[in-house]
Amino acid sequence: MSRPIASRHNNIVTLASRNGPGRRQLVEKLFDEHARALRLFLLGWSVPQDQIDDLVQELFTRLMSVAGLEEKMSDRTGSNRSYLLTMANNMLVDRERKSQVRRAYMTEQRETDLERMDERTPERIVAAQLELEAMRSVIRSMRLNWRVAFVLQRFGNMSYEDIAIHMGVTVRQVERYMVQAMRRIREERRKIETAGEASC
Amino acid sequence: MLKNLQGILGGKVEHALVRLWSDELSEPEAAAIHNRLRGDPAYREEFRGSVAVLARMEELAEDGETLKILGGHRRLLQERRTKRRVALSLAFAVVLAIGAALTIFAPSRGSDESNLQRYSTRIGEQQTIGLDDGSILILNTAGQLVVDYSEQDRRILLERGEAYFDVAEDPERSFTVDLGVRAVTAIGTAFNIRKLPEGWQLAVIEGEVALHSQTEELSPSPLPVPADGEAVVVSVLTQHRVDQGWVVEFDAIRNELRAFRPESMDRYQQWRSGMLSFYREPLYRVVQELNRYSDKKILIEDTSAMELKVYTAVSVHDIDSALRGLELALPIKVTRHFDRIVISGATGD
Repeated sequence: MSRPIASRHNNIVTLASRNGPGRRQLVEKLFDEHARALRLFLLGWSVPQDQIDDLVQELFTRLMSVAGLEEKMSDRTGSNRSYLLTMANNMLVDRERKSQVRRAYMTEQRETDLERMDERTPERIVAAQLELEAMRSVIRSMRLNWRVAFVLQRFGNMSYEDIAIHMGVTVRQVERYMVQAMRRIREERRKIETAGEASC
Repeated sequence: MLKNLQGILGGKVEHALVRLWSDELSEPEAAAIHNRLRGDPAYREEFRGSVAVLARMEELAEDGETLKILGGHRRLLQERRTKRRVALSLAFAVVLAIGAALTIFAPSRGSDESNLQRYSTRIGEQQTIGLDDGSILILNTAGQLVVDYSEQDRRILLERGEAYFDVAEDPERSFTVDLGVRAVTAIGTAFNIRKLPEGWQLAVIEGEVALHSQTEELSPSPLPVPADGEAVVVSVLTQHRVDQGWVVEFDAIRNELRAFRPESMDRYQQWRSGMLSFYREPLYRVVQELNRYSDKKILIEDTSAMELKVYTAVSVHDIDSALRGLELALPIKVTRHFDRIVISGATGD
């Protein structure tokens, strides 16, 4: 599935070249291995098809400025894909928050700058804290195997294979634990949303 | 793979997410995720909600609980990798050396012949046993064990007493200590096992071990994390992975396994230095310990003396001095008989 270098976004290549041949090779490798998963991930975020390539480029552009990228990517206990998807996830959350701010700005037509609109209101802070607290207790109440797999994958950026080695189980079992952990989180999120809608 | 595909096509978003995070995502799986995301708005909404909440959960990376799991597991994984690399190169060297020796001295020796050796210690004695593979066992007072090494595996039967095991890694041969109905298999480690009148006690000093029944294939799970200083009762039927810093006690009468993390592992390994230290321990516990090293039975006659708190360090090689020290520090009187030593309260004098 190796793609010709010309088909990749030129900016990525330019930026990579600036950081030396080693960095360029690394970025090409990451692109080949993970661009497809990233595109799917962006699709899941309802990013329109024509913007997906731009976002992939933005992500790789950001990646170029990550200090110690080589060390991060060569960390054998880490999963590069997990790292890139987490980065994409955070980028999209950030992007969405900004677009909400812009929408609010356009609707209200107020003389206020984006930075001020970007400030978190007390209500938002409380809601975010409540959600975080709920998620914290969901993690704590998970079965130990689910919790360990989830924490190692999400916060430790570890690959399923390494988690499996560590837990003394198969990769397939690790994936099952992850599915169970994510199910608990989805159900909790649903509860919070339902409660929020009911209180409106 | 078919199950993964089924999960993506007919299941909830977590199936797709978990596969998306995998480095092994296949073409059909990617296509299935693509189709569901494009063709099912509700599914897409769920997906988006799930990943958004995950992004917000990044803050939990600094939680104490998270760090505890991460810290321990990452460190152990790194250690195991390093040890495995070292062990693999060592194993190669050892195999070569033994191979050469066999060719010269015992060419006709059967390949599966095991080598049974029995070791025992008298009361108050300790013995350090260096085994062929580089593992070191230290057998404490009044102990007995059998070493059964073969080309396939390394087995130890701890018949009585207490022993410390510093296990040399050998990827080809597991290292198992037989404890009756259960067994402990080392996963690159040092640990202490003490046989008790009605059970045993396992303390993992370094690395980790698997606690399992004799015939099971290894697939241990980590122990549940207890609140600080508390013990958890875990199933005797399932396999457990016991990490460094954990102690597991088996009570045969209750058929119960208790696991806990003591503040310090000192008390489980200090005997090897020949010194025992006690900090706020009741006298009966101290006497219980001293009795293991004394050829004369020490008895406490007065129940009032049993609970006296003891702060002391004693040598296991000089029980008489230890008793004299106790006599000076506590309101007790020690009377030596030809066959026993009796401790009574000093108030009666």
